[in-house]
Amino acid sequence: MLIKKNSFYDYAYRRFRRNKLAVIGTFITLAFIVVALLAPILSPYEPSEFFFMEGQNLYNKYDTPSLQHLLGTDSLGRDVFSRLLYGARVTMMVALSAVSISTIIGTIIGLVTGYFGRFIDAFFMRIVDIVISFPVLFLLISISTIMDPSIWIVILAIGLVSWTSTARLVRGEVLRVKELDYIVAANACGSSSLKIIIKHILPNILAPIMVQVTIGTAQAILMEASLSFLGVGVQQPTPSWGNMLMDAQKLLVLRDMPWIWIPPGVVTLLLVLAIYFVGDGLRDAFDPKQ
Amino acid sequence: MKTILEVRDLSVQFRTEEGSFHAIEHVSFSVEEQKTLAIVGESGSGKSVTSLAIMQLIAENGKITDGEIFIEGQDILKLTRKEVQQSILGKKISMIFQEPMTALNPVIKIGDQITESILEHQQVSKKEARQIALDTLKQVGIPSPEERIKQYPHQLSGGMRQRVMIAMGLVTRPKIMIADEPTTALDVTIEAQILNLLEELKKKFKTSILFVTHDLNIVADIADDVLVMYCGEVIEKGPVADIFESPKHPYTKGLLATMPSLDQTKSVLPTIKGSVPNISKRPSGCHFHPRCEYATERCRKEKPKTYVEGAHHVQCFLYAPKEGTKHA
Amino acid sequence: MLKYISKRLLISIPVIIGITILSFIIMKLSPGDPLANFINPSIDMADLEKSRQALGLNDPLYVQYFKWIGQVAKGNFGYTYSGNHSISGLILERLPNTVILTLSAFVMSFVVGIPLGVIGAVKKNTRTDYGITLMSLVGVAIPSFFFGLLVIYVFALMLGIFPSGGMVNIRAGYTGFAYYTDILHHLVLPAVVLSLGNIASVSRFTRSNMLDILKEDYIRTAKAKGLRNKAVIYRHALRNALIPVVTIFGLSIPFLFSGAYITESIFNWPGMGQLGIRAIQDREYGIIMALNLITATLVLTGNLISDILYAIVDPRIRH
Repeated sequence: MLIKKNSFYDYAYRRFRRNKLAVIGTFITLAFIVVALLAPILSPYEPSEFFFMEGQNLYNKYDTPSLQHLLGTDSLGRDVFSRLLYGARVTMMVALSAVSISTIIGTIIGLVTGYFGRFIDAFFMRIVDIVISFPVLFLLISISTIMDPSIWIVILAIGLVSWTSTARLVRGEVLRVKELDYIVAANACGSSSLKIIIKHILPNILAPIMVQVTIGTAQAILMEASLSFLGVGVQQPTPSWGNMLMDAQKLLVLRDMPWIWIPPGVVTLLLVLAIYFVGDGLRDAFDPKQ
Repeated sequence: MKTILEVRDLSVQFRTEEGSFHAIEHVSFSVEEQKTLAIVGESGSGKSVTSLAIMQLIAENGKITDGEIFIEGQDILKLTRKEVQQSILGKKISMIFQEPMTALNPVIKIGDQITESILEHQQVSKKEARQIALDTLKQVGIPSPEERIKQYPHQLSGGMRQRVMIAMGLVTRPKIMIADEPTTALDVTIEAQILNLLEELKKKFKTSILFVTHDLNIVADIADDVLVMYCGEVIEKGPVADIFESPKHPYTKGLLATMPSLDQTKSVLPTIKGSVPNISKRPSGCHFHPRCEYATERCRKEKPKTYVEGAHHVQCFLYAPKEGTKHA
Repeated sequence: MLKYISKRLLISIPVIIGITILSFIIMKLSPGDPLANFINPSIDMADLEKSRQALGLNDPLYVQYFKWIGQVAKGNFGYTYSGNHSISGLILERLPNTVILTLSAFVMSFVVGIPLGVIGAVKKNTRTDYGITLMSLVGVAIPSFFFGLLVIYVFALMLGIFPSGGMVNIRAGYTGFAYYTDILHHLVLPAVVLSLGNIASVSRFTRSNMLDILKEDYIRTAKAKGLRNKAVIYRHALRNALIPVVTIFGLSIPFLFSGAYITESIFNWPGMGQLGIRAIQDREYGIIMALNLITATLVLTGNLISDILYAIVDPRIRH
């Protein structure tokens, strides 16, 4: 259909399809995306809606799962199931935005350092070394706390911290592709560097970038979850799977109210696993050495 | 003359994404004491697979589907893996490979790689093993072996590494050694040295040699008997003089004609028309028929049997007996 | 080899300078100018101006940077906003605890991860292999805090085998040998949680290395010599497969320090990580800056050591 028959991508697509785990992963990921998009429709209540106990003026806190509240209510009397669904939206939006930022930054830096080399290369690679010396989480937290944490700060922070893997990957690929004959030929014909990079090099390195995007998305999800769990990510009342787990730091909740914290943890695990399966599948599908 | 190695009707099959195919079929031959048998063929003829099959080193996706392999009369295919490891491999039969750089473990000292063979198969102390290793290194012509024994493969030259491989192969005094294109990766001068060394050692240790190669010059040099393979089958075999002076199979004739010689009068080297067929898509009947100038309709339809004349065997209808004479 | 090592050391210099600059920038961007908190709170007003001069608070930024480096080099990381505790004092107090936890997790990662990887490679495509691979994938995919919570839930709350937090049982007041076993008892769960992601990486990495090596020519040679299977795997394959594992040493260190923050927080382990998390919640930027700088330096040192180790272990580089 969209892909040329017997092209590199067509061949990879067929191999991907034969990989059962990858296909399952794709379906699960798509399912999550659909749920996230349809959250307002699927969700029985508003995520910030508070519920009161029968006929009383008290909030219905920590209610056990029932037909009215499929996953019970949380510490403030809100419906956990609805928060879970809306949380999917938040988590995915953050992850995808952050991955976009880190991919763009990383690809640009990778292309530039790989192609031009020498001083630019040395300079940026030292910057990469510096950034990766800092424990990711703490760097994220530091950035988040300098400014007041909000969704956009979180997205920016994750994006600024994660570009290094993409940059290294792209740089490596550019170095590999740079010496190929037709690049040398294009150069000899006098094409400008920019044109060569965009028209010739970039299309050839899309495959590993795609793999990295999937891995990056999975990691972004985990990073956002950690930040929100610690209180410096997505702030209440906006639900995120990470901040839904915050309550579980209280021993009482942990022990007696598993419906509050187990579901967000499990869905995070499922989504990340599914994305990793897809990423692995893509990597194997593109690997010419099989 | 005692037969050290006898291979009967050996067939090996490989499984790939596109299906299964036979890499070699119905391969039969024998090697006597202190003789050198050369297996000749182009890439894809199955000569390497044959030697690997004897050593039971076929890759995971392949297996021996038929045949028997006798070493000093014992069918090794009927033994358990453990028995083969303990009493056959490295002990009665050893193998040296083409690329000495990759065939030696880069992170283990040369000496240790040699002594480990000795210690595995012989009841000697570490000291004695070390002495045997040193002696063998001297015998393969490596100067100052006491120093070399402590070195790593990358510290030796290509020729020396191959000598180390030979030392490793002979240190347990096997009855037969398989050499799979051991000189292909070496310079011509080094190649000559290694071939001479092998001849010497063969006489000294009374070892037989099974030499796999694509180079007919080497065959003329060192072989007592020759086995010619094409497309996974033995198409001709016999004593070296017979094969070179009166080759029977059209393929063999073609091969010999392509050997350049110093008193060449022609200016264009003859070639065999066509190319080696894909191993999974073999031609019907006689596999060589598309390239053969003597091919008949029968060659396309039927597989020729092996016809014998003394010690000279050939698989070609040209030598099919007229009614009443014998065939193999 | 010396050439290789000195080259690595040389490259580290601009990196460490960059680390200090980044930490400095983060600090200056934090609300409230933590640099001002470098002044010893117990001096009197008369000396205040002198101290401010020493820190360069009235000077342009780049001067402040150098004066700050001077302070840090002397071990002064400033004082906390509330309580005016010496930050370096606080960190030193807690550093050993974090080291205990991180070191245990480090050792566990390799002691558990490598054998799992070898088994997976040798038993490739069997159920054992699939099981190990699945566990590794889950190990990398699960949010570490969720895993921590689960572990506490199952092993501490439900089964009661391990304590749910802390480093020692304060009420019991153990001394001597019992004290150390108590610490060990408390160490198990947090170390497992901290090392999980690493165990998964190490095992996948080892398995993939082993598989590549098992295809190498010298493995074929070893088999041709009639060596027993165990000898081939352990003496020939593993020795080669383990060489690149040293590179994971380097990757493990930032991973472990990063994870320590969350793990210490959940398990109430009195280490630097817990200090850091509390500092975030209390907006103690001085502590945040100090921890940033210290951990980044530790990570860099760790990577350097691991690169040097690699040079030592691979004889091809050694000679």
